[in-house]
Amino acid sequence: MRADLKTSRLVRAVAAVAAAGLLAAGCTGSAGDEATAPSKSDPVAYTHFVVDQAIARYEADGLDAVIAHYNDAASIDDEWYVFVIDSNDTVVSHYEPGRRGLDLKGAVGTDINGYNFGPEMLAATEAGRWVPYVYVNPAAQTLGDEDVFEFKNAWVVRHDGLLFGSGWYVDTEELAPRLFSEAAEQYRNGGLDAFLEFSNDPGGIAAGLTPTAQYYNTTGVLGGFFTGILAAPDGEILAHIDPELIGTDVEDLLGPAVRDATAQGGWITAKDNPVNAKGPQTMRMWLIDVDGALIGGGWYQIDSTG
Amino acid sequence: MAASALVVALVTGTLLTTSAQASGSVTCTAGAGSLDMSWTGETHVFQYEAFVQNSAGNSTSQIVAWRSNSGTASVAFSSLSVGTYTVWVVKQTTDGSWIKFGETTCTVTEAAPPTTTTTAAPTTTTEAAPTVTEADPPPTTTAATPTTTTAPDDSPGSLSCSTSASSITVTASLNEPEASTATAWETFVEHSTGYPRLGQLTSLLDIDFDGDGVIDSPAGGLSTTFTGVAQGTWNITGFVNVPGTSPRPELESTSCTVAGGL
Repeated sequence: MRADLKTSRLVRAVAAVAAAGLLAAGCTGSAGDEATAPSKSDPVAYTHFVVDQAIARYEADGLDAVIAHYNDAASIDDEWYVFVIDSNDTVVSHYEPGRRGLDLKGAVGTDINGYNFGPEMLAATEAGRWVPYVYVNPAAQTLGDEDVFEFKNAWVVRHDGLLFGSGWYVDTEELAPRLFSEAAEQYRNGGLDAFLEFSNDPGGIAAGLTPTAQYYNTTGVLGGFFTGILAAPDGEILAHIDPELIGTDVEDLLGPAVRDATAQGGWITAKDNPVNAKGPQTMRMWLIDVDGALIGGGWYQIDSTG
Repeated sequence: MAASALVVALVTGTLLTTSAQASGSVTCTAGAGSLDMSWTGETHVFQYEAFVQNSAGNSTSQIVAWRSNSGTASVAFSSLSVGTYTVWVVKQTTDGSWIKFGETTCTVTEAAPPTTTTTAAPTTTTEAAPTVTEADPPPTTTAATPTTTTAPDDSPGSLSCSTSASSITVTASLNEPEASTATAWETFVEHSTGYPRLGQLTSLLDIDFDGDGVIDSPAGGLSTTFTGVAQGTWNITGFVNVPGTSPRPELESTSCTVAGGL
């Protein structure tokens, strides 16, 4: 199936999400006691809300009622739906009957790109955890269209021994600028410490994205390398998913086009590098200039076989 | 031709050219009305077909998918009468050849407990119309699974499929006259990479091996499940066996995607 996926589409999806791995923004903790639903234009908040609602339903009506409700496909809310996993790691509620009864440690816990997200999901605590993987977006389904797998970011919360989860399907063109802009704001206001605190929040998106990005980086399933990045004004890389690259020069890694980054931020590709200049053969990085420092992330490929 | 004999002919008809005898051995263990067969799996084989034949020459078979690199393959036959059976296995290798091996005999000395499922009328000695079971309830199609479009009027029917994280359930929907005349149907699921290709032939008639009026192998339904299959897209094809019709009418094909995820 990997070959059947439209790689460019998935690469775009994975790229921005993985790039956010060091730069999660506005994605910490649960939604709290929101009585009204946040806008779906804020998918992070809305996903929190959906999971909180499921837990509230469990508290009010019990597990059987929760299962009955969320097993019904009528419970699907655009791209959001709830799944529940019991203390035996078994999926007990999902709108697809074929998912129910499956052990998360088995095949259901590995996505079609081979990423074994089950252990990450089972590690979720009461504080919640983001777990990204590739799955079908029910809101995007088109009859006869097999290319319906999208990059999903699921928010999973352990409650009373159960795991309650839901997720949204990442529109990277919107998410990446937003996340990196927020990360940049953290850096602008609090410097490196604030940036790192923001990026490494265990309840933030970064915590889930890191193993996902590492999977893609180490297996080469989609080719290329995914990372978030922070470079000091002198070009020294201060944050990167590959620790060995910290301390190296960002231009040596990505080419001189990184200096085209603006205070508003934007996508920079390999074509923006001068001919014969250093830099990856392929690149799609969203970068923002913060008083000379570079913050952003994305995907790059050093050579055609990478 | 008696219906049971017809079924046997159809079943054995799935055995393609038996090109060579292989050296492998088959272990057979008899139980109450049952036989368990096991043998060593091989890396270059992706599918086995295990056969059981009674002393009258009637036989039945089961497909055994094989994806592991080592270990033992096994299959069980049930609802067998007391008697001696000849059993063997045919393997389909990765180069597409079919090779028979391990022929041996196995004796069932104890009858199976009475079953309450053999409610169909005996079909051994009459030209009775085929007994077709009710189709299984249509499985819910997963979101990733395109549904087969309605077959044209002259089509024998269509296939649909549903998936779990590691299984495919194929359901045949037959049009008339095939719905009334088909004696069996066969489906193949092939991974989009071309490997592996698995098959399952299902008799739509009850089988009475020994003519004692007791159904030894009840008719199958119009739904069958392949388990333990790899993730990815699988192309589904199928045929119906209709007496006097050759080649076999082909059912409208479809495809399914097997994927993990929640």
